Amino acid sequence: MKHIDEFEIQAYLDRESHPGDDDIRRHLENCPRCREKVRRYQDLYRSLAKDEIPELPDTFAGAVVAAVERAPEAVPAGFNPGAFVPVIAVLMMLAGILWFLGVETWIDKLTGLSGLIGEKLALLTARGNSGPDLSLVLGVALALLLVGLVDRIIRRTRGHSLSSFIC
Amino acid sequence: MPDQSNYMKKVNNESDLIDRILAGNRQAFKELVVTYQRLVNHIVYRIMPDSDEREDICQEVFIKVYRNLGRYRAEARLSTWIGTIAANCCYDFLRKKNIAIDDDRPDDYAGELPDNTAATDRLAEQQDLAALLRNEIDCLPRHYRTIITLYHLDELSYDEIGRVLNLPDGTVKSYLFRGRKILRERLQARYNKEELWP
Repeated sequence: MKHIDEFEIQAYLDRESHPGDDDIRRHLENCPRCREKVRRYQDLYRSLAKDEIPELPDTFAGAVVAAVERAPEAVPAGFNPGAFVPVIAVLMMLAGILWFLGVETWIDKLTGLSGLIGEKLALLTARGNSGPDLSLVLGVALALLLVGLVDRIIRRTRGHSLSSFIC
Repeated sequence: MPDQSNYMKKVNNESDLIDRILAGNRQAFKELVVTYQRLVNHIVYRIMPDSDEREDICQEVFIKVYRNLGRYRAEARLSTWIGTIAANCCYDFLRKKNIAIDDDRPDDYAGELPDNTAATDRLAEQQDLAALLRNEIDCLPRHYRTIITLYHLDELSYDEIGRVLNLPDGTVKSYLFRGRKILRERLQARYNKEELWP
């Protein structure tokens, strides 16, 4: 009968259950040599779980907080791209509505931006000089708004964040 | 494998803790440090056992955690994320000192390990088996001993250890098995006692 090698023994002891475990158990019932090897590994496992590593001093946590307070960049607020998605969506919707209402001439007078954006979108949608398609702008805005809202909901439950895929 | 409801409870507690820290609550940050300082200390100690700067490096790890907490996305457990920062801090430190990160010798470790017979014989005489084992673990290659500690003391899975140390699952498993095999063989060969462990 083939004996169980050391890696198989460790894999057997590490995992909770495996289809091949019944074969190993059957072999162990009839093989004192492999039983002894398993026992030695079990002893080793118990000793490893009791290993001691020199601990940090009791004052460590207080010292870290003090260091954070002293540090000039001690502001935990990181960049959260997901938070910007709803804002961009709302701005796009507003821009689309203003466009639809014909405010573009007013914006044109102020900045000249809308004409430029209109030209670019027209090129993008291959609609010649007829201007951007409002449904395209609103559709993209709604999609972004939806993504932003779903991202917020997921982040609240601390599951996977959609924002990580966006950025 | 943790119970699903306990796991969700832990995730929600972590989420609350993070929200409080992001809101500027320093006491909440202290709670986080107290919760994870053991794990960080284990990683730093195992990667750099001889360093006099262990406490400073651990402190640097938590300052990085604080500054980057807003970027934490819960794709990994908080412990894994903090562990990854700790390992990366150690790797940076080793690079600055021109020390090789990967000192593992997977194929010929048995003949290459430092000879610590005198130290272990002395410990054997004192019958301090825990110290004896500790001494043998310290002589293992860097990744072997770190993985053994993360698995047996901190109860991380192969996958979590792989994320922390930036190693593939298969490599983690292989190093863990080899490390334990070395320990078993060395302890048995050197002392050749029927009842090595109590």
